[in-house]
Amino acid sequence: MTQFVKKSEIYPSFAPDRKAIYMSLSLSNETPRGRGLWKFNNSLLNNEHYVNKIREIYFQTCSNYSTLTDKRLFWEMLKMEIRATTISFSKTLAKSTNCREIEITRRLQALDEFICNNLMPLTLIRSYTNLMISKLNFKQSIRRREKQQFLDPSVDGWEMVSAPPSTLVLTKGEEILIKRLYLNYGWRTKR
Amino acid sequence: MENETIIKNETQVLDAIEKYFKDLYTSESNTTQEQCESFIQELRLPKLSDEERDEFEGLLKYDECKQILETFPNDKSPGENGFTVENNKCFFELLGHNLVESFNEAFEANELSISQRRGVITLTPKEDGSLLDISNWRPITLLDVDCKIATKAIAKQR
Repeated sequence: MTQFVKKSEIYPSFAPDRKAIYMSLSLSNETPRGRGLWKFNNSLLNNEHYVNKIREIYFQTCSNYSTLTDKRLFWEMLKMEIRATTISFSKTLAKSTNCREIEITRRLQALDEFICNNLMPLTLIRSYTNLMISKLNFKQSIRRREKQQFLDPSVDGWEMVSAPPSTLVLTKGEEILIKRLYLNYGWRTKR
Repeated sequence: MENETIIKNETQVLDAIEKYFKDLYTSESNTTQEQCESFIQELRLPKLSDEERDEFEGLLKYDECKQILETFPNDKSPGENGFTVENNKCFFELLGHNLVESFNEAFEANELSISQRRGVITLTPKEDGSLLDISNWRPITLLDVDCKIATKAIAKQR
């Protein structure tokens, strides 16, 4: 099976025997699918920068093709410019998202190592937990956007915990520890 | 599946699909063009007056296209250009006038723009039956949202 593993990650946690494993498999297909057609990513519409960028491109295109008298051709050019801008914007966005994820993982691993080798002062635990939550939230938002489940809550040992700013999936060990720690910071779980 | 044989090669699969649906949608008829025209001329169909014709064939307006777009449900597959209903709704105030202008020019020239004339044909599985059998797949054509707006707006004028 190892030849099918495309990517694997182990997420750090407080409980040593409860670390989450994320694995992405690439299974062989005798009839591979084609490249498919480009489809607009609707989540971009919630991005203020993207919407402003399109407004900018619109006025720029109007200016660049002001001599074009054929309205049908102008419409095609406009769509083409918007499409090119959208693809470019999406690529840049994906790149910055990956960089952010790598940075959070790096800081988390550094703290994880430090905590394992030290006496875990409360300030560090707080930083560690904040980072872990950021990463889980971040991962979940990406997976949700891709319409994939980051972690399956139906699997034994995983439970949904409501906590600000959004829903998290934590191991029981992590949940207990976070409950203890965050009672001091005013966080509450649903249950 | 062609003659109970499973085809796996991409080119062969595409060829088999094309052949199957070409045969399915082809029918032979002995009726001549003249016979068809004669049949239509003999029909006593109601006719529109010139005034009614002008009224029904008028140019499209920005507001009516906007209203039509608002009736479209979200989360539907887009056509060949990839722009979704949500995208069109979001930017209609910005781009809508240009779209309507393109429709009206198409009306004058009797021809839509290139992307508005294109559709993507894709196969969707029927509910029952083996998916290895081509007869259990149904072809659908995905058209651009632009085209759907124009179609519905024209239909509503009548």
